[in-house]
Amino acid sequence: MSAQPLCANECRAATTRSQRKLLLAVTLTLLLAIPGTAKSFTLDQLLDMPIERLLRLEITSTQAVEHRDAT
Amino acid sequence: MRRNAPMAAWCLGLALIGFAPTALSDDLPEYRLKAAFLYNFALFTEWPADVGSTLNLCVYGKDPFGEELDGLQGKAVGDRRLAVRRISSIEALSACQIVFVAVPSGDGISRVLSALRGATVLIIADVPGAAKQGVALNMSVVNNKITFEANLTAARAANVKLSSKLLSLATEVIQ
Repeated sequence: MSAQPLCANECRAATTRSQRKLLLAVTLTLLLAIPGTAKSFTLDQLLDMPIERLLRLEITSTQAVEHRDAT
Repeated sequence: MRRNAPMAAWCLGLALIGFAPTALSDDLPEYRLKAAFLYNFALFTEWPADVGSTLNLCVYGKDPFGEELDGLQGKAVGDRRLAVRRISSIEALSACQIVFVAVPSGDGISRVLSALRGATVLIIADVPGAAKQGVALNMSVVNNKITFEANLTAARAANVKLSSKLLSLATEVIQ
């Protein structure tokens, strides 16, 4: 009777450990698979790129024309 | 309840990651990329030898680039260096070797073209139809990508030479 709860506790601990490892692995995999992170470029990074590559990049925000007034 | 906590945390994490691409990819503003194009236009343009060691890159009108333009300050273009200037007076444009015309209408471009007639200057804009009006390089946004058209006649009249590579990448070359 007394061995059963001990086994149950050990089994629960082992299951929790393996669940944590699985969660960590899945989370890391998902983070690495995010495609959007590749689109984040600083100006310095853009200046190092050939113009052919700049032509292929997609902008993610536009600026309205009404902000550009001649003075 | 306690047993479900890891699963709940994982689901929350997944939901956050689901939103992450939008947040993380929202980091290439139009005028950061256009600033990089300005630099490349300078790289692929040849100025006469009597132009000094500084290329004044002037934005005429209300500057749409903001601090992105400051990143071009002092950048090397061959043997020369870029100097960024923001110009509000049309008379001051005579000191510029590159002019980005930041005006919303064709009228403003006509005024700049008239003021710079005969000057050694590369004129750039991002206004529809500006290349046909006489701007040497005109940028557009098509399908979220930057394209540009070139006016070879205007560049020749302004005594600057656009490289064959630049012309080959233009969507249209007006001759």
